[in-house]
Amino acid sequence: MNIRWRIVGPVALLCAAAAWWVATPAGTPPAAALDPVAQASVGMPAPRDAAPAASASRAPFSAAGLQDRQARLALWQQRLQRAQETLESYRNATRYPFDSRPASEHLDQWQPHQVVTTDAPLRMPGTGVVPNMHVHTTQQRVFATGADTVGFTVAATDDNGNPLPLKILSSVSHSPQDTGGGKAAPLAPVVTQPFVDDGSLGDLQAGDGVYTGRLDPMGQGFGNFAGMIRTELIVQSGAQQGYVAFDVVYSPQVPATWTGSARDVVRDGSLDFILGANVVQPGRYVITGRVDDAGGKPLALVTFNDELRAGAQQVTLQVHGRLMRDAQARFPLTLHDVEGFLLRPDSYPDRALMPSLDGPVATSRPYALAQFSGAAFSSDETQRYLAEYGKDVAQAQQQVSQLQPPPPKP
Amino acid sequence: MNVRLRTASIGAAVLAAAAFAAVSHATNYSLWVNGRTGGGQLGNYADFTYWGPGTTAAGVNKKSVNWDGYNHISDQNYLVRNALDCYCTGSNWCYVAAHSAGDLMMGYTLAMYGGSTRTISNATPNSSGVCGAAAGGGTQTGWNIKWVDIAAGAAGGSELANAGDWATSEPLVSDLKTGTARAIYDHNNTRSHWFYMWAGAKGTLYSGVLPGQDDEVVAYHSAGGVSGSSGGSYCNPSDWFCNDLTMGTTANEGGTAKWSYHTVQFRDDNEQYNHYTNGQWQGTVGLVRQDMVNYAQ
Repeated sequence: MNIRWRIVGPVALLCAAAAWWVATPAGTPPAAALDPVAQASVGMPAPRDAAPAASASRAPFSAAGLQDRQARLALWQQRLQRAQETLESYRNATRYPFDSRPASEHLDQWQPHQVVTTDAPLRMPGTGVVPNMHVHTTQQRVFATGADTVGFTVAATDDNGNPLPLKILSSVSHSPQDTGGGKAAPLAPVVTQPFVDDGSLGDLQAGDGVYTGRLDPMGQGFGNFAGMIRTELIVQSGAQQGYVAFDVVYSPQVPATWTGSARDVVRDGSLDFILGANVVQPGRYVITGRVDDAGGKPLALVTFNDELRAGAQQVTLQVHGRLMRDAQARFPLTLHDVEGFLLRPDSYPDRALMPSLDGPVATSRPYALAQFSGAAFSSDETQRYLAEYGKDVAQAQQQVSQLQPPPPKP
Repeated sequence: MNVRLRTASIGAAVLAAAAFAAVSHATNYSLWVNGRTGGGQLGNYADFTYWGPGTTAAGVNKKSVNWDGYNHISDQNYLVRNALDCYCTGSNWCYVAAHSAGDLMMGYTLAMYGGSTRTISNATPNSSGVCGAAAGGGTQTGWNIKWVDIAAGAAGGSELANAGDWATSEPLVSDLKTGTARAIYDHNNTRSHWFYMWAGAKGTLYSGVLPGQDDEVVAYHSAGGVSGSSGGSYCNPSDWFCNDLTMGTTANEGGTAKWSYHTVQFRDDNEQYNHYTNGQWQGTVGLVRQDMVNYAQ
């Protein structure tokens, strides 16, 4: 063999193989070919041909082959629809960056410190439900740090919400956690937790049947404890006893504090609120604020999720220009109710809270909307996703085209 | 050009082409994230003990992302991040399916770490489930996830955790209390990934404890991705005395919204599906498996 052919032959083969490898789409056999359950569910015989759609120029299909082909066409049409919807949704969503989102996307986050309420049958664990007896509870917060306190209430009601007599038989705060896996036992005390209905300890109304307690971790001996504090109650209404538990995730040390400084700047077509912080414990901080426009209309949920080093730091909460433009925001904007915590990866508790900034935190200058960019957000990440989702659409479209019957001859 | 030089040039071109093909060869994976109880060997992506026979089709290149289903979500989250780093970076992309507390785990992962810097990995895990850096290295922001399927999602918690019916000393149970599960992270923050929700309603044993329709472990308020700081009572349209859990993304009867980027794909109007896989891909997991077979390609 001539040396040229000895080289060109293998090269051609390798190139062809490489081209096939790159060009071949992800597996395309029909669901029925992959999955006996799918086959049964659509009442289909096993396909004769598990390869990608044949061209329309092949010999006519048998009835079974035609049926299989139609099933595959239907499947690929569904895949195409999902791919198109995914692409369009992502393109629409990522007009704004992930840390500057429309308020309408985070409705249940708009009110900070949301009270957790439960309404459950009054019962002991593992027992049946007694009709017309409920226990209603509220809990002020789930996470607490440092000197935070947490209020609880408990009341018994009938099906219509009318109060029933209630007795607190026992109420104890402690840490019940399993400390297996080689972890050291937590330094948690066991304390009696008072619940009252006499107008004291934050109880709103004496004698209304609603009992109030307040967990004060620092004041009750949990100052060296980090973990879950459970307040467990055994209560009784009439002859029926019930179990109630409130869980609070507690970290004793405040990881960072706010300096009180706040300013706003226009940067890269967006509005940045910049808050000063003194960071004691460095690490990843997750900080969230709410922004209203001048009319009090909720505009944006703004987030910082990044590393902060120890010392004096600045936290930027950005309101994206396109978001302001699309919402026709009226200035000045108000940043309010900022919450944040140090995220501790792979540990429990996974966070230590910064003091929250309740109410208005900063008001922007009265900018003109035209000062901000109307350009959609774009990043390496969003470009990566748009390219991949676009590829999925193209691949599904190609499969659908190949599987569709040829147009009738004139 | 002499023959030797031409040979060397062509050889170099072939190697370059092969290298390009190898680098650009994208692979899709189907990741399965378990719920409470676990059972699969941690870091062993081939162990489908939690789900059912490992030979069953469950999406392209399926991998079992095992965590212990006992300890806290935050304690165990590194196992999910390891898997996502392995299979969902660089040119590789993932579809994710999760069951029950796996919903809470995936939501937490995306909300807390979805925008973090990840090392592009080589999809070759060691015995602990950790992959090495890909040839050429590099990092990227977040992972490559196409969408997420959720069977019997517990990201909204379960009243069985509230009521003390589960072992109260179990760390995960405290995460699964309805108020806690809903406070751990912002459930709307999926980094714009869609969560397709499958909600079962074949629950009978705890129907007095779990509000509205339930699959015996989670109620519709969780499995249907209903927003808010607390649970609520949601039912099938045939129940006139309880607000409907609506299909898709529309607000439920009564006006409560679903979490953003959550859509109810299946509501169990005929009350046929419970919570349990029974080690046979059963319950709503069976429906999600079918969806993965159909769409995770």
